[in-house]
Amino acid sequence: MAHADHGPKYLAHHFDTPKQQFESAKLGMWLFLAQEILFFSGLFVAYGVFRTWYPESFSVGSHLLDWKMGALNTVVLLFSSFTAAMAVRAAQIGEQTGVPEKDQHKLGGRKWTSIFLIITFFCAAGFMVVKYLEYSHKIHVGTLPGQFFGHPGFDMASVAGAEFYEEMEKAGALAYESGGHATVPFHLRTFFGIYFVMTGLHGIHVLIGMGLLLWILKRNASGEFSAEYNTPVDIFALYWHLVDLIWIFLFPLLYLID
Amino acid sequence: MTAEVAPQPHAHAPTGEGYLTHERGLKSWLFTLDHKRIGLMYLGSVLLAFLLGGIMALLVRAELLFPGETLMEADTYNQVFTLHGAIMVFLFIIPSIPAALGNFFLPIMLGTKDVAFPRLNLGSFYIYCLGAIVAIVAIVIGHVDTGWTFYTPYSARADSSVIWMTSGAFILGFSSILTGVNFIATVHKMRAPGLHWKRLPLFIWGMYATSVIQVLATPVLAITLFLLMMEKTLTVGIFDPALGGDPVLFQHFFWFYSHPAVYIMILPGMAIVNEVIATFSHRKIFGYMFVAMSSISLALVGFLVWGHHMFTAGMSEYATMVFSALTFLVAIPSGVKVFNWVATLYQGSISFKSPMLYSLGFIALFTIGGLTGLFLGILSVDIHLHDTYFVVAHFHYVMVGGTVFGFVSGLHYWWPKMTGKMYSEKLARVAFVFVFVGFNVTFFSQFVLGSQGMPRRYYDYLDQFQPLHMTSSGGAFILGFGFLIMLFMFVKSLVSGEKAPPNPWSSAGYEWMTTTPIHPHNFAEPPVMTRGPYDYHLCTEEELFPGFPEDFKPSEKAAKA
Amino acid sequence: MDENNLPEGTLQLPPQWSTLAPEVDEMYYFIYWVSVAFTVVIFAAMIYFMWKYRRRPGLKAKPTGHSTALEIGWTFAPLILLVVLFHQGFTGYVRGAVAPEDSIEVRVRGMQWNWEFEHRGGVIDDLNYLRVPVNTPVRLIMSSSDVLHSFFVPAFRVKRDVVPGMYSTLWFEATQETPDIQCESDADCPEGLWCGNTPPGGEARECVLPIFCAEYCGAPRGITASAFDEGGRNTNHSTMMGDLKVITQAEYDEFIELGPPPPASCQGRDDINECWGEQIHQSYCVACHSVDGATQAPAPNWKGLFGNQRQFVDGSSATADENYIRQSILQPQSQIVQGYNNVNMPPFRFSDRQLDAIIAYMRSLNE
Repeated sequence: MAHADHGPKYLAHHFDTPKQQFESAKLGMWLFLAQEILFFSGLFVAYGVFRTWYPESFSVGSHLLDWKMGALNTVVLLFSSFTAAMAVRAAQIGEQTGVPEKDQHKLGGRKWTSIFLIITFFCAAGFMVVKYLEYSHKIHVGTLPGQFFGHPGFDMASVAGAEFYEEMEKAGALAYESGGHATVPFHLRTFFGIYFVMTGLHGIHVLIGMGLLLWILKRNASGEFSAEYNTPVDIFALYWHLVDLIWIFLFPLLYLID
Repeated sequence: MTAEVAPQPHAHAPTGEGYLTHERGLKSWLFTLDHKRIGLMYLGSVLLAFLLGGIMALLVRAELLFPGETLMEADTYNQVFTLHGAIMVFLFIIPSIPAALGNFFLPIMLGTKDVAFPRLNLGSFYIYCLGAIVAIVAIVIGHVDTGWTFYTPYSARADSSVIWMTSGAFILGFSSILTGVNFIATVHKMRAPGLHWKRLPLFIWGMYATSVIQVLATPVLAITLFLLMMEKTLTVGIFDPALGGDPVLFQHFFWFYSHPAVYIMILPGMAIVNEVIATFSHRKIFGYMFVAMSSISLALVGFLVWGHHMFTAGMSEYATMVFSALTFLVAIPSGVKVFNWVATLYQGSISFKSPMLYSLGFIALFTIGGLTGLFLGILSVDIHLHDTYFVVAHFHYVMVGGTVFGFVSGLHYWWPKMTGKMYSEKLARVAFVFVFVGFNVTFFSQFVLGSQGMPRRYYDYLDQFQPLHMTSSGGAFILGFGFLIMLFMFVKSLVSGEKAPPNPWSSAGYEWMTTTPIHPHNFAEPPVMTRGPYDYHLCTEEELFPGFPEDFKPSEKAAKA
Repeated sequence: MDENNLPEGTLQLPPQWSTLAPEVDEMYYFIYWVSVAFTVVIFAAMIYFMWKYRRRPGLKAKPTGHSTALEIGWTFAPLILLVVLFHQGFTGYVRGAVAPEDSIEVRVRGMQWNWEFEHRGGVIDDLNYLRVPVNTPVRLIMSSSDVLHSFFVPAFRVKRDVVPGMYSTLWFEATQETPDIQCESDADCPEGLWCGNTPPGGEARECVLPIFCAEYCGAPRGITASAFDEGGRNTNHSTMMGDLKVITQAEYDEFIELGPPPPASCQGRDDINECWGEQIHQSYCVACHSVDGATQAPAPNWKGLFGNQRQFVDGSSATADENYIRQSILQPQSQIVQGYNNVNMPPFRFSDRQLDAIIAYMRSLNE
């Protein structure tokens, strides 16, 4: 259907004004973020319940996670949130037509939008690499959820080796019974269950964010965005801040609290 | 959009083509962004699900005609009632009114061209389809016998096809969430000029309250089902006591969604009843603002009462007390609605067309369903009635007597607008009698069965329960027959129904101001609302004229008089 | 026991057999009549308006007015009723939740799809059979070994979920003994009773109060579960029923002292102990121990076991005599036979009479 008289090209046919379109999109995204928070809230409740029931397992569990890796990832994500915000700013400023290159707003315009988005993308990728290192270490050692706890590689036939016990020893998880048998707190497996589910779901959100980033980047490169229309960059950034925010809660809860 | 233009009743689309015919071909449906076509596709899907779930229900009732193993063995029976519940809840009731009728009429009643995010809307539909397919795969390849509630640890240890079933429900949840997001944004940002909040049709208020629950409660179900899947694959040990988990925690999580979900189901039914009662009484709903706010307060209170599903499950006495007290609060907004509906009839001009019959049926059945809810809120009595047929009867009175009657009422009410065809009023009334009588025979006997102590989900029972079970099964077949007549009536209408005039019920509602067939953009000219949707006293004779515009020449009539 | 003086039910509720029942029923009927009153008023108003204001020529709808007073009234007036309902229900609930101090205790174990009852002193009753004394508060301490169950006795108006991984409790005080009536079907029994499970020996059934499992607990896959299985074991959620027999205090005391009596079908026979032992095996042991010497089973076969030399995993050995059998049942983990170290047999606390019967049955298998 043609809408020659309707308004700018980016204005969808069912909206009256660009402002209405922008506000709708923004409201929609906030509602989506509300459901995201409730989605994760189930996990936080489960974490709270089990932490209250089995404090010793959770205390030992936090020692078994590498807080340096977690801290690194926190810094990386925080920085990426900053660059995402800068990308929004750059997109909002847009190209100022008729203004010479040197008088343009600093760090504004299409080029800078792309640069900031690319930095954000690489931060996200970096986050996932660190996550991969952490995961593969745990799978290798055997600090895994539920029945797989003590069975490296999710293989029920394999048995935890020296590395597993060394780590347990370091974290103060081993208790020796009279017979010389070493035991670890039973609910460590629940801790790792919750750890894998929480960080795993968060990781999936980061991956989805990376996909969205590529899409936004492509649209930016094709010149779709301007000072007048930059809603996708804006609402992507909202999503990205939420992903960041969730990690800011996950990091202390899982890695730091004793 | 400066001058106050009155809505143009019965104006023809410039091309004369309605939304059904202006584009043709399969592609124009599969890739449509038109909320009306998406609504129709939803309608087809949910009706299919209703048929499937209904067949399961009749199988259940057939097995229960006699005690002992008659038609199927225990294991098969368990699968059949699980599928009945899961299909009816996730594939039929939850999407029935919001996704099908809501999608169709919400933008029209707001006087806008479409929902805020048409692409997302189509996406929701395909997510729904995907979820339905995954659920059906689970049914076909697997062995799902957990009940629709998926209680752990039974579900954690049951057949692995339960993972498919929960994935299906998980995916369907996102369809529901996205529809909710879409509707809220649409109501906030897309209202036609002049349509301020105090003029909002009560159907919109109901949809709005429903959407709030969809957005805020469904994600909790999603994470619960996700954790259940993790329990079955990674054995995370959150719900399975063998791994240190807590099965009661699952119930808390599950009902935190599924109780609000009850309001996802009933609020839209109430929303339709508002429209129908107003139209067929030719009166504004009494206490408009109270009725609108009762929807919102039901949505909010609904979040606080999930624990009343667990009075026998082993909560602390303190928690039990709080949940019981809060549960009684639900009765207040429900009561407010019923009282206001009855008060609307007073001094009205009541026409008993089939949509009105179903809505009046709704009020009657919902009254019974609501009052029997009080039995279950009283702690000492609930202990006896919990998990018996009393509960089964209670929620069928609310879900079928409420939601399904509301849905069917809406379907009759809007059918002429949606399809452009009239149906046989006579057949519709015959179907109503069968449905109403069959329903009451089926489920009233179950109240007695339950208070006598007949537990739920039994495929076999003591001899003493046999007469009542037989009555109930007999009623179920009458009910099923009623729906068959209805199906025949609608098909007949599609094939050979008379052409529908734009406003067959003489309604003042906004959706009747547009042409039939509906313009692809809903209104040929963007409307400006100069009166409320129930202001019959402000309507011109022309606006309320039930026939075709070409038959109507007010000037000539005036001249004759 | 006077059979003509049994409690009677009403159209809606089963007979009252516990001290809690009258109070629950009173509450039930109170809310029932409140509901009837509301329904009548609402329906009457509806029907009257529907008739009075039916659309007809000359009748025009009056524009809707507004009455804040009316709205406020019907918003808040029901609140008073609701507060009363809540208060009554809650106090009743608390009475039902807190057992009197002098209650006797019974351990209840739910499992797919049977109930096991262990009385004071470790006396295990017949499977799915619960004896309780009349006019004495009884507190049940319940657990589940697999999935959720729910212990429900309609005649007592009590119900409580039985949850794996935790204990749940419930109490009641029966007000009347159940009559001694033998039956063929439920129709032979007075109102509120059912014709109980078939005992493992297949002897005549008797009328008892039904115990239901009210929380869905499934069925075996692909096995046709006949209504009430022979051999005294139930096979799915809807047949997970128990027999509740209310007896006199004297009868209960005797039961606690001696354990459950031999089943009626064995009494008067020469091989009363062997007969009883076989039935105990059918109820409790058959899932793991076979008795034909051929069938593969997870635990040692009983045929030829008695008198045999046993090799244990710790290297020692012993002859399977009466004391060995007794210890193996009461403390199964104390001596584990080679080849069975992965079998976790739970301890079974049978009475001396039951142990005698099991041993007699095992001996008879050697013949």
